[in-house]
Amino acid sequence: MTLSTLIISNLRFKPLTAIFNVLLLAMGIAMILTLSHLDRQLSGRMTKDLKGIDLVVSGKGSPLQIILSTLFHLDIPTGNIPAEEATTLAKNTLIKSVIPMALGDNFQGFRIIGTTNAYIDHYGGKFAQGHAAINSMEAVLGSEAARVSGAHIGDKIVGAHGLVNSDDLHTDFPYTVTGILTPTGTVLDRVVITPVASVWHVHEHPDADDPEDVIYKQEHPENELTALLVTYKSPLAAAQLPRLINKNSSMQAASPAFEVARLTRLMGTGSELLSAFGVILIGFAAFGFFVTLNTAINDRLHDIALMRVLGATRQTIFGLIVSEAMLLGGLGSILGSVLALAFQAGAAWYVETIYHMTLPPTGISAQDIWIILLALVLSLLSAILPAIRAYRLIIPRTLSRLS
Amino acid sequence: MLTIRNLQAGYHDHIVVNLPDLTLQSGQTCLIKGLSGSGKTTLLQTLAGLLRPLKGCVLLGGQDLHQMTESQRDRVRGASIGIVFQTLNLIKSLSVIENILLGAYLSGQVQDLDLAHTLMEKLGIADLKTRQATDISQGQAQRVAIARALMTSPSLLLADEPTSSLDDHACAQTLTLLRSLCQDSGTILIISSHDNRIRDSFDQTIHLGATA
Repeated sequence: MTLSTLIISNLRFKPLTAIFNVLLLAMGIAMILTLSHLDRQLSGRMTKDLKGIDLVVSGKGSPLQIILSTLFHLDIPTGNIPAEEATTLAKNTLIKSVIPMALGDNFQGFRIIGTTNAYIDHYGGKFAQGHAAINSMEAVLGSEAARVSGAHIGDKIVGAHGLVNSDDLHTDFPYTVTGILTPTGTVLDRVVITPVASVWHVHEHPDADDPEDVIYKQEHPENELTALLVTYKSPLAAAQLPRLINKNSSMQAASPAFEVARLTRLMGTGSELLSAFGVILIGFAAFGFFVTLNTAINDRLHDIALMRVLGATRQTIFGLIVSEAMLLGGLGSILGSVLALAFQAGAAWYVETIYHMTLPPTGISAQDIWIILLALVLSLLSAILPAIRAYRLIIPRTLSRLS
Repeated sequence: MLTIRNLQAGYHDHIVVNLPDLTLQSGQTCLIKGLSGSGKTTLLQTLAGLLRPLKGCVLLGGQDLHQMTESQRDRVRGASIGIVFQTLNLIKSLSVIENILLGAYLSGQVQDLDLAHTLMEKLGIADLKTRQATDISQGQAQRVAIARALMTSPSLLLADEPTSSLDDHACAQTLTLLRSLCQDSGTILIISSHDNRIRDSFDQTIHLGATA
């Protein structure tokens, strides 16, 4: 006979309400922990994908769309910019370096980016096998693109027109794989890198089946780029360059930091709402503990009186009730954390299988510990009032009323 | 030794029982007889240190129960006073053996499993050991309560109407067991009852009149 025998046998005697309350608490904790995981992942990835890029210059259109399409490869580009105009801009004294980017095709859903080796260097890419694509129609695969497609060095791969997987294959223009990159945890893992010349070569002649493409080619006979990824020379550039580009050219400048802040603000509202819902769930669970314990005290007046008769002090009884709530709170917290970890693992697997993106589990952060502590404190508080009732129980009166 | 001096027991200023003087040596027995409402339970609760007397004192082994702090009294009650009720003796969520060990645990004493087994053997409930408290009969529950009360080798055992819900055979058997077990361990036995079937000889018998 120990304190735990006493607590556990009591919980086992009426298990349903206990289970319900533990589940409620666990769901609240799991929800908040999962959101904080997604938040960490998303901001972590975004920071990595944006790192070192001060400005993106692309065709006129929505700045947010420019960032999404050129840095995260999630949306379609706003439009192209003439290569000549881009070259002129690159010479601006406020600019330290530019990375050109020509989009248009994909390989099994992975975007083919016509760019320079500076793009690979920028994201810290290292060659796992082979070497950089030097000549036109050579290609380097990001780690995910290589893993999913199963392509090897020397293989010929064929791009499809457009930015999502399609049947419209450029079979006349196969690329030769010259290198495969190591995983970087950035957008680089999910793309195919080739010299800009390759993209120009593939699209030199308009697609005869696509009248829009034919007309577009007639109107834009010169070579084009999709975007320029710009790094400033000095902070002064932030004040002057975007205005200069937006006013005096056919191009549009978008600041990644600004657009992502706007995006997270928009999404943040949703995740804050869910977090608030999670806190409410935890609050309800604590209230559930309170109701359960308080009702249980009525059912257990006899047990408590009997224990006092058998020599238990008021403090022992108080401790018993509080321990019971803390045990439920602890179980709920553990279960909630396990659920959150399971979700992280499940989400990682799902996102990798379906979207070819890595979303590694981030475990439980220091911030999450506070949520668990909050749950435990609420469990403790919920037990105080019932415990005080039990503490104050007048034994003779209880005994004579019950017998 | 239990000594009662000039005791007035009751609630608030309502006197239920007057008991001038009583002394019981270890191993002695006492029967408190009286009709329902005559204050038997009030008296037992006062002797158990659960109810503060209006006047007078209760000395157990020379210590005045009601001069102690409440936690001291809880500890003395747990260690030296065994109590058996008419009904509702057990904690339903626990098994028989857990109920028997509960008193020793709550009063912070050694949970002597050998003693528990001996007592269960003597009370004829050894085969109920692992049964749930909700699973046994009233009479069996009472024996479990007796075993639990004796687990701490108390100097005083109080039994409140221990036979009223038992049939004649069980009534006689329970009384014999209580007496012999208390005799063996030198425990003072006080039984309160209105049961006319109790005709055995007691060292002392107190008759309470109906005052309520």
